[in-house]
Amino acid sequence: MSTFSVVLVGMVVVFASLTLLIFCIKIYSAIVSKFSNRKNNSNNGQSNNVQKNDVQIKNVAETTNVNSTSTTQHGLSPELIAVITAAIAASMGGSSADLKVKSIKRIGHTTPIWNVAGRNEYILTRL
Amino acid sequence: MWQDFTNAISSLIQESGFANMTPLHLVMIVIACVFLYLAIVKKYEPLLLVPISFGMLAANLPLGGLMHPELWDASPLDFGAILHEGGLFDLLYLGVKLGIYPPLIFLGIGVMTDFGPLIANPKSLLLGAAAQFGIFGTYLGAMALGKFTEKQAASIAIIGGADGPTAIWLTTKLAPELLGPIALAAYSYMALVPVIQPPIMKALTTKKERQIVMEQLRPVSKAEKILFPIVVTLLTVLLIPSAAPLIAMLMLGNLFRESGVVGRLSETAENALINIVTIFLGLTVGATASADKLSQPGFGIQALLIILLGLIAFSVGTAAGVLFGKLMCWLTGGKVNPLIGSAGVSAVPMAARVSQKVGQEANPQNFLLMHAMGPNVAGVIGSAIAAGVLLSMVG
Repeated sequence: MSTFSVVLVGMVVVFASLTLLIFCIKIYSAIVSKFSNRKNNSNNGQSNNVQKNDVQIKNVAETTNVNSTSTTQHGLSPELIAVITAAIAASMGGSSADLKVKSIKRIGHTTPIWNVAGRNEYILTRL
Repeated sequence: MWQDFTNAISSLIQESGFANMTPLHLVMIVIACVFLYLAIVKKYEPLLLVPISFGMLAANLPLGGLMHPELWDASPLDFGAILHEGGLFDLLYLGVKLGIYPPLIFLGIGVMTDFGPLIANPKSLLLGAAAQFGIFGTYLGAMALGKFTEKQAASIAIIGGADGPTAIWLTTKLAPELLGPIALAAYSYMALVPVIQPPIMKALTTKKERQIVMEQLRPVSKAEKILFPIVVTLLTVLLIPSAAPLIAMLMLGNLFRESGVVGRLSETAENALINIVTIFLGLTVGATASADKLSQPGFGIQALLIILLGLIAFSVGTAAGVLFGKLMCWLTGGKVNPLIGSAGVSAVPMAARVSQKVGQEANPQNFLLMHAMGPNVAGVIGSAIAAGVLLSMVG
C-alpha cells in the first residue's frame, strides 16, 4: 500500500470510527435520560410534593431577590441567597411554613483546624 | 602454591565483566545514567524512566546474562531456547513480546479514567481524532526520509499518540528492533509535554480565543457511564479488530470502575497490578537497548532520527488538535476554546493540565481542565484505534 493511501485511509478510519462513537453516545444518552424521566414521572405522589416545594422555594427566592440589593454589597449574590434558602427549604422537608430569609450571617469554622488541614492536603494529592 | 593463586586470580579477572567491557558498553552505561539523572533529579516520568534506564544499565553489563538479544533476533522465534537459555530479563520480556503487558497497563488506566467529560460533550472525540494527524503526518515524514521501512515508520509515528503502552505494543509487533529508542523517546516527550505544547498553542491562537470561557458540562448519570465502556468496546472492536487488546482492556478497567460492584478488582488493577506490570515492562524495554544494537551500522543515526521524528510527531499532533479546536470554535460561534484541542494527544492528564494552565494565563477566571479531559481521554481511544489501523495496513 502506498504511503499516501496509508495516511489517508488511517485518518479517515480514525475520524469515521470516532464520529460513529459520537452518534452512539448521543443515542444511548438520549435513551437513558428518557428512561430516567419516565421513572421520575411514575413517582407521581412524590413529584406533586416536590413541585409544591419548588414553587415555594421560587417564591422565597424571589422575595429575597427583592431585598438582595443591600446584601449584594456585602458580597452575597442573589444566586447564593437562593441556594441557601432552597437548601433550608429542602432540609425542612418541604413543610408549608412560610419561609422568609431576613438575614444570612457567616459563622466561624466549627471544624477543628487540623481536620481542615488534613482535608486540604487530601484534596491536593488528588489534583 | 603462589603460581596457583596468581592463576586463579588472573582467570577470575579475565572472566569478570571489567575485562570484557567494550567502549560500546561504556557508551550505553553513560546513556543509562543520563536517563537515570533525568528521571531522579529532573523527575521526567520517573515511574517509567527509572526501571527503563536501570534495565538498560543492568543489561549492558558484560557477562551478566540477564538479556540475550541474539535469542530474540532469531526468525522464527525459538521459544524453547528462550525458556532454557534465557536470563531473567529474557523471561520477563516474553510479556512484552507476546503483547501482554501493554493491555494490562491499559486495564489499570481504564480504572483510573473518568470518561464523564467525554460523555457530557461527545464532540470532543473529534479533537481526539484530529490530534492523531501527528501520527500519520510523522509516518509520511519517516517514509520520505527513506531510512526506514514501512513497519519501522509506523512504529516511530505512533510516538505522536503520546501513549507509552500503545507505542510499545505496536513497535513490538512491527519493528521490535527499534523498541528501546522508541519507548525512550515516547516517554521522554510525554514528560516534556508542558515544554513542547505551550509555544505551539500560543502561536496558533489569539488571546481572545484563549480567553473563551466554556459552558459548564452537564452532569452524567451512572447508567451512561456504565454503558460507555460496553458501547465503545462493541463498536470499536467490531470496526477495527486489531485494536481489540488495547480497547477491550481499557474499557474492562473502566467498567470495573463505573459498575461499582467489583471494588476489589478495580483496586488491584489500578494499584498492585499496574505497578507490577510497569516494573516488568520498564525493566525489559530498557534491557532491549543493548550495546550490540549500537554497533549495528546505521543504528545510531536511526536512533537520532527517531528522537527528531518523535518531537515532530508531538508538535504536529498538538498543532492539528489546536487547529481543529479553532475550527470548532468558529463553527459553534465561539463556544469552544481552541486550547482544549491540544489535549487530544493523549498524555493523560498532563496535556489537559497544560490546556488549563495556558487558558488560565490568558484569563485567570477560566477553568478548562474538565473540558480538556474530554479530548484527552478521547486521544487515548483515538491513538489505540490509529495503532490498530496501522497494524492492519502495514503489519
